[in-house]
Amino acid sequence: MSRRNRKQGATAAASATGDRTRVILYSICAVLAVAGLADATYLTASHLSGETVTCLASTRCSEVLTSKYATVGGVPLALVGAIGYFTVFAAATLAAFGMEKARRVLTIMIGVMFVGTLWLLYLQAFVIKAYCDYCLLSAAITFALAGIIIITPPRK
Amino acid sequence: MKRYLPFVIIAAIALSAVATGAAVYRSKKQRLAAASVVNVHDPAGAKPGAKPAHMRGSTKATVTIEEFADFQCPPCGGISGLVKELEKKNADRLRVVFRHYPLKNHANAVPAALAAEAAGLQGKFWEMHDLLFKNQLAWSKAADARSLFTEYAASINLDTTRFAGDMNDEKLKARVTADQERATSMGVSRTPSIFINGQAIPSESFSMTGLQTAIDSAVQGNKQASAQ
Repeated sequence: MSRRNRKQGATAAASATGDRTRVILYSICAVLAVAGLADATYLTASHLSGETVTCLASTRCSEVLTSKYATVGGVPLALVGAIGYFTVFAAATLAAFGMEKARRVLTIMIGVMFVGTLWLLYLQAFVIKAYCDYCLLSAAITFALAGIIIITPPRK
Repeated sequence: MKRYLPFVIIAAIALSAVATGAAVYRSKKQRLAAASVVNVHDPAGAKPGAKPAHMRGSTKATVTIEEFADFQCPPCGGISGLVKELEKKNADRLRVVFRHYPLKNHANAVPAALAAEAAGLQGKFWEMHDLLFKNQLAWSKAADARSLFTEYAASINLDTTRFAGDMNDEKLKARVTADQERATSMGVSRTPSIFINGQAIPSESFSMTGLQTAIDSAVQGNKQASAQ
């Protein structure tokens, strides 16, 4: 085998490994997005039904979920979150199947959600001065998604 | 087939999310509808009162005992024990709501109500409620009841610094005042006062048998109302 062929073979092998890594990472993104979607769907259904949410760990989550920040122009913030997570799920699934445009959408969406999450954490910590466990779970998921997107190798 | 697979997965997740959301929404609405049966005397929470009220018991319960009490009033402690017994006996069909009605002649009644509210902010209203009644004699006449309340808070593992600060919180004072306004609107003039499904219970019935009879007739009343 010539030197050039060996080099091409090594490049192809590296590319295949990179592809596999990307598929795995996008699949993890999709699974995380489903978890976020479930969380946001539960909060949306609770908000629309009018019943208070049963908090798991923190004690003042109802203060967060009934605050004026829980809706944006009359739309429950949880619904916005659910739509966001669904978009991330769809983009991650399509990216895992090799669609390049979906990768860009995924990066942008996660970036927007990351900034939104920081804002919501600030509101909980300094304005409402109470935390909600469902919101913290969502924040953890968004941070994990951002971490994955950062470590995902770019396509050559 | 592989070409369509991602879209099939996405569609399946979308449908599952919508179906799950709808199922959660429906079950929560049903629970609220069941709860509203007992609130026929106060539709949409029209009467004043702290919101959300301190409540325990099953969300599916069809009978609500609303108790107006003063932590410094000795008979209130007795009634509290009785209500606990009734809760055990009636399990899923009983819900208990506690309302503050601190009497003016009880100097430590308002601070005690605030202590319970402050504990509530850390998720331990009922634990403090029980401790206040249990130790009523110790703090009732104490010159510095607040320090005793802080000791109780520590005994149930509350953050005592936050607890002491929360006791001065205007929002908590407003909750106590709201309960007092509710009491006035419902014609309460003494403690303890008990309402079962919005119906005032005469003090002669403040016994295990008397209250159980009232609960049974409330259950009967609900059945008749839903049959019509």
